[in-house]
Amino acid sequence: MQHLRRSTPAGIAITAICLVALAACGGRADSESGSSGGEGSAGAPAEAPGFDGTTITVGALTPTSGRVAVIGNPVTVGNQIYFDMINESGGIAGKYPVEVLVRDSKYESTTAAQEYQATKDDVSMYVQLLGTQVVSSLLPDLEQDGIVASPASLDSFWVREQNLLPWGGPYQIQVVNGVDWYLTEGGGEGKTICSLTQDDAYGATGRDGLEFVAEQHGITLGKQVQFTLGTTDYTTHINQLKGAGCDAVLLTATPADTAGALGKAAQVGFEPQWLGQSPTWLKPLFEGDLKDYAEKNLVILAEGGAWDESASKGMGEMIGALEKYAPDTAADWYLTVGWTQARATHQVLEAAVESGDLSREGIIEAMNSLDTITADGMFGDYGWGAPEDREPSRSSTIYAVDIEGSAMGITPKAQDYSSDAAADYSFDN
Amino acid sequence: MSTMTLSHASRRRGRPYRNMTLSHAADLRTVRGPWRITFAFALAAVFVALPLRISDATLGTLVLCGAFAIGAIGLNLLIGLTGQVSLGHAAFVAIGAYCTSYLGDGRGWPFLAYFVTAIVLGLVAGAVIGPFALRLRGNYLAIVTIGLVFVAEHVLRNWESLTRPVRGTAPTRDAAVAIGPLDFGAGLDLGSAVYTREQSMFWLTWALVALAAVVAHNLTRSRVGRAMQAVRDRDLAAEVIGVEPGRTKIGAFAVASAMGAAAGVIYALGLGAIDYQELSGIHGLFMSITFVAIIILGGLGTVQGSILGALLVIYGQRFIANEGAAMPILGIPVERDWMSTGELNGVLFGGLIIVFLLLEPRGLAALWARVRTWFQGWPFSY
Repeated sequence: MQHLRRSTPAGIAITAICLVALAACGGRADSESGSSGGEGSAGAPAEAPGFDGTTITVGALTPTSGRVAVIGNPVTVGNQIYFDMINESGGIAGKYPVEVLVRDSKYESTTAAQEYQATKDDVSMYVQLLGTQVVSSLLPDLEQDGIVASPASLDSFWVREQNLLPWGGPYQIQVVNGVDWYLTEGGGEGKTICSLTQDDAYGATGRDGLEFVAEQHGITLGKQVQFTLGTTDYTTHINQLKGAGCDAVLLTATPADTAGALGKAAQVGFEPQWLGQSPTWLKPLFEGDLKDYAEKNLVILAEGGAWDESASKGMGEMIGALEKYAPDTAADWYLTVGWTQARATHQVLEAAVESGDLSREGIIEAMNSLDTITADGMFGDYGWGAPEDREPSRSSTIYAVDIEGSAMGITPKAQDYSSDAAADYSFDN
Repeated sequence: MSTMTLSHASRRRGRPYRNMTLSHAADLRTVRGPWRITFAFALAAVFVALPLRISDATLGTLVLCGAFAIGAIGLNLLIGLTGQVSLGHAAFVAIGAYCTSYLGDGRGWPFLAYFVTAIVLGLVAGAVIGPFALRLRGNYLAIVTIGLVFVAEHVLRNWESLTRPVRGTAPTRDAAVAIGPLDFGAGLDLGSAVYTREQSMFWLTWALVALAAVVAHNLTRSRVGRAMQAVRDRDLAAEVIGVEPGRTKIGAFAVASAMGAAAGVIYALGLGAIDYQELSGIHGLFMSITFVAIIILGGLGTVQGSILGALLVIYGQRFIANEGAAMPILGIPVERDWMSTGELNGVLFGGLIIVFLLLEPRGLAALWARVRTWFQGWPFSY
């Protein structure tokens, strides 16, 4: 026993020597997982993160479980069927098929951060990062790693971000146009406008837009109520709005919370004009008891047109691809989001392949070289270029709820509506 | 160990059996026996060599495992050793996480300053909560501690300058992580070799896990540890023999909370940004339950169990997320497949707890102990 006790200092010394020796075996430079490779000779891009010389892998961090999976899944199907269609004709530039690496973010920024770390070295870029809060918390990582991502979120803050590839009119523009429409064409002049918004970065987009349009119109807003994602009982929230005499309520929520809030409002006989931002809608949730209430009181502020093959080139292609590659998937507005993101990603990757450089830097350079990101008429064109030159669409579509008359459950009431207030909105943060 | 085996082994060596403790000094040794010393060396070698062999992404996950291990070691002292149920551990993790964001990232404090501040704040918060345990026990205490995560949610939601300073999130990635010349945050630079942030953070985190383990191990075999166990087993009897249950319970809460706060610092550094909704309210309750699951699966009342449990639960979830997509039953579009990887993770997590409670209620640590005993008893193992 004494022998063992005496050996302790020696043991420490041996451990220290071993540790130093092992540590000296070699380090791993930061650049290993970074932006090595990419530029190839004679136009053929060299291998790079997410590109093995034949296949390009793009990532999608999206909720596939939890309350917001009802949005994440159709957006991902939209991503997938677009690349299925492209791959059938050979892939990007007709040569490089695209694979989508999907990971469950659970709509939580902490889970998304882990999934991002786990996948960033395996993807060229992200075709989808779902959730304003998620994008907001991952943005510094994207900047640090030089990776481009297309957010499935429409915060106006994304417009000037070098590492983001937004694809539609921002939420703030949706709200500005929607409230402007309510005040001028929707019979809302002189009425009290309130809001019910999620208490996070997504909710802040609604509040930003509402405050801006109120200032532009010189009106005083009514009660502003916030809720936490996953709230199960909206009695207090609805009673506050009802008690404040709200005639219209801007709703910034996701579908499950929309159904919860509207269900409670219907129960207590509160019938304002609900102005729901695009992520509030999900047809199956309103096909039951809430159908009549939603059709009477809810409009959705989004972008796009009707679910009709002849509506635009993009819509025609998407409906065709859906029938071919995912025939069991029901019509859904979120499919158009996924499709448009993949379309935008395709344009960036096509430019990068053309320049022969699929490295992180090559992709950013190729992206900045584009003049326009088009959605083939599905959404408005996005004026592109360097971040300071980017100009998203400033028009929105106000959709009425029409469960039986439309495959998506919503049908355009005022398509491509642009207000003066929206034209004045600045994207310079 | 049978008497026959003991005497046989002792006679063969010409001295008392190797595991027999003959003096108080021998009883106080942290590492006993040549095999354990060898094992400690092997672990040290793995600790040093592992970051050189595996990807940064995996190291990032292991950093999170380390954070959960530190928190679980603390919680195990409280639940496993002192018998005080707590379902509010996430609230203490939040203290550490927000110290990192507010002091480290926002105010530019050096690592040791905000790390120690987090531990002290955790200690104080635990000491404040502790007195509740004096009047409550069992299920009642569990319910009171659940209240903690909801109180935390209310406080954090309304304290916007703390929880949402930048675009709805609280960043932590710019917090300094340097101790003297060793900059773990930027990546260690030892002159001849340069290491990534993930490699460096792995070394820092697991060194802290080892430190927490040694502190906890030493606590358990000291007078304090014996007092904790006495309170757990029968607090009235403990009081009769001179243990002060009040002081012991409050002390256990304080130490557990301090370790929870330390875990929060590593957790926040590992993620790069934190979201109060994940650390409080319903999600916070789920995190607290995860901590409890870790110590149940690992082994109640054991230090190594906390570490093994954290590796099993946190790394296990990552493994399924990484490998799950290749499994035939899983897929993303719900219309085509019947379960996503996230849902599978939830199902397996629940299933694992049920299986362990049925088959090995004493957790992974007991499995390990069984293997060890088998070798110790060889050739008369049964």
